[in-house]
Amino acid sequence: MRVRRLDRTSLVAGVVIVITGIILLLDRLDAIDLRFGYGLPLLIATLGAILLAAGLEGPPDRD
Amino acid sequence: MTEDTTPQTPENPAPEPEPEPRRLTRSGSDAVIGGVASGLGRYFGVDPILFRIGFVVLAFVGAAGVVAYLALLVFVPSDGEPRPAGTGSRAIAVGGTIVLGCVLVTFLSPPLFFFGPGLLVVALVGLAGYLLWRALGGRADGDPARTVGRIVVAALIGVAALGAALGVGLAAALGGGVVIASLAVVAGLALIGTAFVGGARWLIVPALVLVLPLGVVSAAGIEFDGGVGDREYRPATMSQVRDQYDLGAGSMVVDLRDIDLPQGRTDLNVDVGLGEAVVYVPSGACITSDVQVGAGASDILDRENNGVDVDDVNAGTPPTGRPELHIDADIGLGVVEVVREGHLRDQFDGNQFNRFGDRVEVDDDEGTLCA
Repeated sequence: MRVRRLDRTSLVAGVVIVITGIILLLDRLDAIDLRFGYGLPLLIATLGAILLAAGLEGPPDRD
Repeated sequence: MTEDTTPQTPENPAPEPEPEPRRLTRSGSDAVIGGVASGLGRYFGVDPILFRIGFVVLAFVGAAGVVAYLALLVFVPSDGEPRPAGTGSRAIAVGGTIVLGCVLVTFLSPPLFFFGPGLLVVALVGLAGYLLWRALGGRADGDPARTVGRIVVAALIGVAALGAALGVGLAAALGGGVVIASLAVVAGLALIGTAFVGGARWLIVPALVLVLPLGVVSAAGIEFDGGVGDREYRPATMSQVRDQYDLGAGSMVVDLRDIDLPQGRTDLNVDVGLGEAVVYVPSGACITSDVQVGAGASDILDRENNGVDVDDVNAGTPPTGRPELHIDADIGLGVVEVVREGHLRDQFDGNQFNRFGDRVEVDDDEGTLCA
């Protein structure tokens, strides 16, 4: 039986998107005040983490 | 007498060859331009597309990417492997011809926007989409036609994503931010869940289309709840002055020069999501302010600030007998200007002009905030 391996890119992307989404949700609910000073680094770090994970892992397995 | 069958160990075994030190070389077989990114990727054990993206990004930061690439091209030796015939060079030739064609058509200033700047934008979006596709695991082959076809598809997807991102940003600015952020969290959880059964990388792009524009709208504090367009308010009496002036996008003028402010403090709240707000304040009033601009500029009685996260707070105490006008302004992206007696400072040479374009002299005492 073929066992599908863990796709780390999806995992990393999911984690950083959940974290960023929660921060944005808190801002929209006025629990925090997101400013450009740390909002833009957050977005760039999100994108960078996904690209880094994809680059380190390589292309996904194709059946 | 028994024969010794144990294997004989040579007295002087041949020494194992020492591993060659790892050298940074340019790749000849996987080169797009000079094989620098491929060599770096091979040396560090990562996908070369990361270095290619890095060089492109740094090219827009004072051309640092171009300088770094040229330096590596000059000082890093090639590995000597030949470039496969008919692969990279043909793809580069076809891609370069398309890009040059787009630039040429753009510089011919055609009447339609799409064939002007729009075409160049589509080409750049396509290139960015192709690089993102490669970074997320897409495989390239040596067929230039398929490469160009993928770039065209990536351009279409990129334009669609750009339109979707603008729509998401608009929806967030109109008050849908909570729903969008919740959808992003759900998409992230779905990515985590599917990661253990092979992954669903296609979900990354729609999740980013939700997260990135919402992040910009949230960081700038853009809210479109005040409508769109140009607004001008010129109250004649104090009873007509509102506490709050809101505008979603556009230009808003609040002219209070005809108002006799009462003694004590009068609060004025100005919110503009995207655009410009100009407040004319009456002479004789002492001005205090608490101004926040997400990205743009503030000019409060000629005290100028610009950039991102602009905060201009002035909490002085008015002299006895002078009324105080406290301006609380919140601008997402744009400019807020507080002007006394209609004297506008020219943005180029700093001279002061009245509404009819005549240069005027302004008493410096009138331009001061509360002491």
